[in-house]
Amino acid sequence: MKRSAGRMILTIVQILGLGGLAFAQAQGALPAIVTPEKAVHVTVAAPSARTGVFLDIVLNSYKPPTAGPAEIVISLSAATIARREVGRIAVFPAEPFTAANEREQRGYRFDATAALDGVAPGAPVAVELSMQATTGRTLSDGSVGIAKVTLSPGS
Amino acid sequence: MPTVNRRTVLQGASALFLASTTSRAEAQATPVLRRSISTMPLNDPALNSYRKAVAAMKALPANDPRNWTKQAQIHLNFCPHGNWYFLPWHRAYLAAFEKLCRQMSGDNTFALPYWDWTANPQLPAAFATPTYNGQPNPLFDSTRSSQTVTIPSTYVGPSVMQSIYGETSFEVFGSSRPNGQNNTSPSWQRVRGYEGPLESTPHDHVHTTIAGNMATFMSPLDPIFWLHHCNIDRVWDQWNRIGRSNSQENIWRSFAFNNQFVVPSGAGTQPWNTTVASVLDILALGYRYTLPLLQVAAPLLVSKFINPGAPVERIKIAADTVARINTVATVDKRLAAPQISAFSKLNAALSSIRTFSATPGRPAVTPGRVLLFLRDVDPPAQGNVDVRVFVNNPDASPATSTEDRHYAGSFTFFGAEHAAHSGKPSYMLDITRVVSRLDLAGIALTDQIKVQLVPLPIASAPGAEQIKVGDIEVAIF
Repeated sequence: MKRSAGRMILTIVQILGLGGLAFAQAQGALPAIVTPEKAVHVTVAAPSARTGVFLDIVLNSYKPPTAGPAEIVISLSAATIARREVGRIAVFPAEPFTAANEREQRGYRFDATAALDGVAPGAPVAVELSMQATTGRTLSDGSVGIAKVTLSPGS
Repeated sequence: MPTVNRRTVLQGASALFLASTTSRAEAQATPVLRRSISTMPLNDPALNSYRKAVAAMKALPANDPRNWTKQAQIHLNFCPHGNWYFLPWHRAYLAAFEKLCRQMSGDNTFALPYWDWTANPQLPAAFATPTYNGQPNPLFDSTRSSQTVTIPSTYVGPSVMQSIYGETSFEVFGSSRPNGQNNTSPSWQRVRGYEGPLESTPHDHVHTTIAGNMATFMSPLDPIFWLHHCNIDRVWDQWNRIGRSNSQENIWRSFAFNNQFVVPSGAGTQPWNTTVASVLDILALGYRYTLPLLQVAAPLLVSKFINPGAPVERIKIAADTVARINTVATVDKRLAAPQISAFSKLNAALSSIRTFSATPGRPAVTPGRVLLFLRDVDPPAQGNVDVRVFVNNPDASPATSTEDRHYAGSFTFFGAEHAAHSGKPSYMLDITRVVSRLDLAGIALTDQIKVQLVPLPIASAPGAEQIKVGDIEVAIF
């Protein structure tokens, strides 16, 4: 009983980003596939650092839509803030790829410091990744594989 | 009769510098000036030379290394993306290509134009028509999504660029090291790390929005590729000029790009091997850009453009400083022990230089320098001002002479030219001499540094009320 209570406290501490936890990585929801019809939402804990906070997105696959360029829109929201866009990814070259290993994955780093203004350290942050056409058209196909979503103080 | 204004004075002074200072500058031909294509008429000599070079390269046999497709294959086979070699590799690639263009066009002064998509987001007209002067246009590429494509401001607008210029870490600004890199083996060149905002936002989106060849690793087949990357290179140069430092890591600086590029040799070509460190100084590479975002303030008119490298100490003095016209805005910072020590060492070195100057034959001493950065300045809403800058002058006022020993320099704004640029202007003043003068006068910066800003009205541009300086920093090198 005492042991399970201890584990629970440790889990809460980790979720809250306390105890010197250097970064918060989404658990459970990944890997996931984003399509034009289906956005992916993952939850991470806001780090305690107030400056130099980066949101890292790692892709492990991409299948471009058959018609025209597409982009992945990344935004954050939390209990205390409305949805804020952090950045947009356009996979270049705009050709299909599937990573056979971690070296072949493609990482993107965004400064999320401003977007997290008003979010308490350790608070859950919802990261939304959606796929859309860059020119306002409606996409009917295409997909992006998300391997990792990490919110971390800058290194 | 040509008009003489501050801009022409600046350009003239820059040319004077280029012609007269530093052994590096003397060791090379005068760097060519890369200009914005938006300033060029369709028959601009640079565009004519570019058309001529591209047409000639397209006409070369497939086995000639200058052949247009061969040049694109260099990108296909070697380009690093998603890591910190992205910027230096493309700089080297463009520098070699620019030289080939000179050879192929016969224009020895040719400089690549750049496409400033922030100021002019539509595909430049010179590239958009299948013919030019009744002949096939070598700059046309039929695979693009549209010949009137406009890059959305979401990717290249001023607020995006301002955020990018605001990045202070090279590994964020210019993409990160390859995951796990621990040596300079060539195999790391194409291992990915994290794409930073410059690569992932304007760079990638311009490629994919134009689409066709541009959306592939054979993108150099589209002649706009070279102008797009020229602008990426310019942004990197501007980022350096507002005082941001490149990585000092040896695995970045000493990384070699071997057996990838060719440059002219006589009527043919020869391989050109280079390293990251060798491409960090664009003047040494033989080119420069117009109107740097960081405008060199008055006392530096004949001083050299610099890439200062990593400072010994950085002193953040103030943020969001408002200076009202005809008044003095003072900001100050108490110095920490390492900063006091750095100033002491600098003054000792400057003192030894002064002593050595009367003793020919003594070994050269590198005294270091002190730079004052005034970044992200909001110009007055209307009118214009001349902002005088003083260091540690408790009596500074609008009446204080520029002969005062505390006077560091002044800056002003270039109206429409400023508005056309991405981001807010930033300024740099070399205050080494001021520090030295104050030291000589016994006013050493022992525990506190103060900066005084005095905006004065310019009679020909009335109406100014105030300016705001986003960030004031002193860096000791």
